[in-house]
Amino acid sequence: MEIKAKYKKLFFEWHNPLCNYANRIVKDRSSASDIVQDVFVYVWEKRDQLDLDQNIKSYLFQTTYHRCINHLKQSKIVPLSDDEYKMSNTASDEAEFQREADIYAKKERIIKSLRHLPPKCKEVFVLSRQNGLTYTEIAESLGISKKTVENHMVKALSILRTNLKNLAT
Amino acid sequence: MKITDIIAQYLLSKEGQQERNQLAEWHDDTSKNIEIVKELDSVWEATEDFSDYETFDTNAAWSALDSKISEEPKQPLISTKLLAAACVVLLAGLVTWNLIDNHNTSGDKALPNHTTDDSSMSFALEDESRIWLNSNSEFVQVSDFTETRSVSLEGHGYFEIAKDKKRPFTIDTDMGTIKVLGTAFDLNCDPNTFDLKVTEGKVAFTNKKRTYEISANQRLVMDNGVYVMIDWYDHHEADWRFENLSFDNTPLSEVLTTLSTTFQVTFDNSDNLDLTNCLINTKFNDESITDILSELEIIVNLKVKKLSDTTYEISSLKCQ
Repeated sequence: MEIKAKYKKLFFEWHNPLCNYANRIVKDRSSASDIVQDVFVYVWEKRDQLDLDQNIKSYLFQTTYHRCINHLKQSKIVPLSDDEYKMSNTASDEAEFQREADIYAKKERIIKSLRHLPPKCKEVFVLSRQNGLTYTEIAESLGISKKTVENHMVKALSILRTNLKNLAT
Repeated sequence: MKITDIIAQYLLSKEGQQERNQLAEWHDDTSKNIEIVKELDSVWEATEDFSDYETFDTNAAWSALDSKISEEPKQPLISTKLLAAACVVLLAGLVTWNLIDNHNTSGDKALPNHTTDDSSMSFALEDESRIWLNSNSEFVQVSDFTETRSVSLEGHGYFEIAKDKKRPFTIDTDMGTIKVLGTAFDLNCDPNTFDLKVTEGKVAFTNKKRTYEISANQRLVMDNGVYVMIDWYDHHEADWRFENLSFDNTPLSEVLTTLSTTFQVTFDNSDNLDLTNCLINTKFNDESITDILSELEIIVNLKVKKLSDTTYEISSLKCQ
């Protein structure tokens, strides 16, 4: 595969997880997007030194992290206290960034699986799991029976179980 | 018989074949059920709070990034040769199909990416291969087709690949890579699914373990982690691509492109109508090209004249 192809594959795999990771640190969607874009420009410039075939996800997360910190410093924004993001460079070793990459890859996989649910099924599942509505509340809000809500939930769980096999690994 | 009784019988008489079978069955079922409970638990836990996980526009970001890195003088991504080739393609397109003029005015060399939500779509690649993308799928063209034609797919698509022996067409999936020369096939793949149905020609699928060759009327499907090759003659299963065409604020230029690839017809836009500002919101379910064009005539006052079985002339457009 030519280098541009490898690079594009890398971009499509990690763009959204990295944007979410950056957004969690800088708490600003637009800045997060810009930071990740800069990270990928940097990776392209360094493509001769980097082996895009190898696992460079921790490198991507590490680079994004440092750029987020720089952004916060330059913007003189005091980062919000967040146990997971103590800005004292605790997250500085490769294993830590590897762990972050795995967490965000997992989230991306889950969000994609949720997106693949049939529309009604997805609506019911999101109302239940994300919005915390009871089955009765969902039934009232969507004008369907409680039994139908239960059926949608069973179907959603069944599809997600199939699509998210080996999620822990 | 209660499981405790079966175990007792088994322990009392280890020779009992029936008890041994029952116990083995119970053990297997229990292991499977425990596994299912674990998996469901994992799904339940994993989907608990996703309110903070957002979707960023990766396609738009790639277009911007691609333009940026393509401007880089150090190592031009688009060779003069390719630009010349692209111009030839564009010129040929102008002669054969005027719609391309309305579509490709920016000269942007961003490679195409397509993502579908609840509806399907179809499009043509620069090598004249045609792709139909089913709902909830993602297609990415990962090479510029100069030496190899490389794309990736997550979801469900139907491929009609133009023959080009010098540039093999490859599709990256989560399960492995598919290599084709000139063929047509239906492919459904995601991290846990692989289902490849070949309608024409031959396809090679290579995963970490081996390579499979799948010919027309054959299907390679993954069942519980095992790849199984079976005969496949029900080509109507791939007709989904003609059944649901959904357009949501889609420019008329794209609608006609979709119709063109779906029904294998061409539209002559000799009047150079501006089709990009005319947005279409409608769905067609298993309707003929004639019915669809009739509806478009009503929606946007588009005048359509049939020149031949495969060519239509469009004129006089009035968008609301």
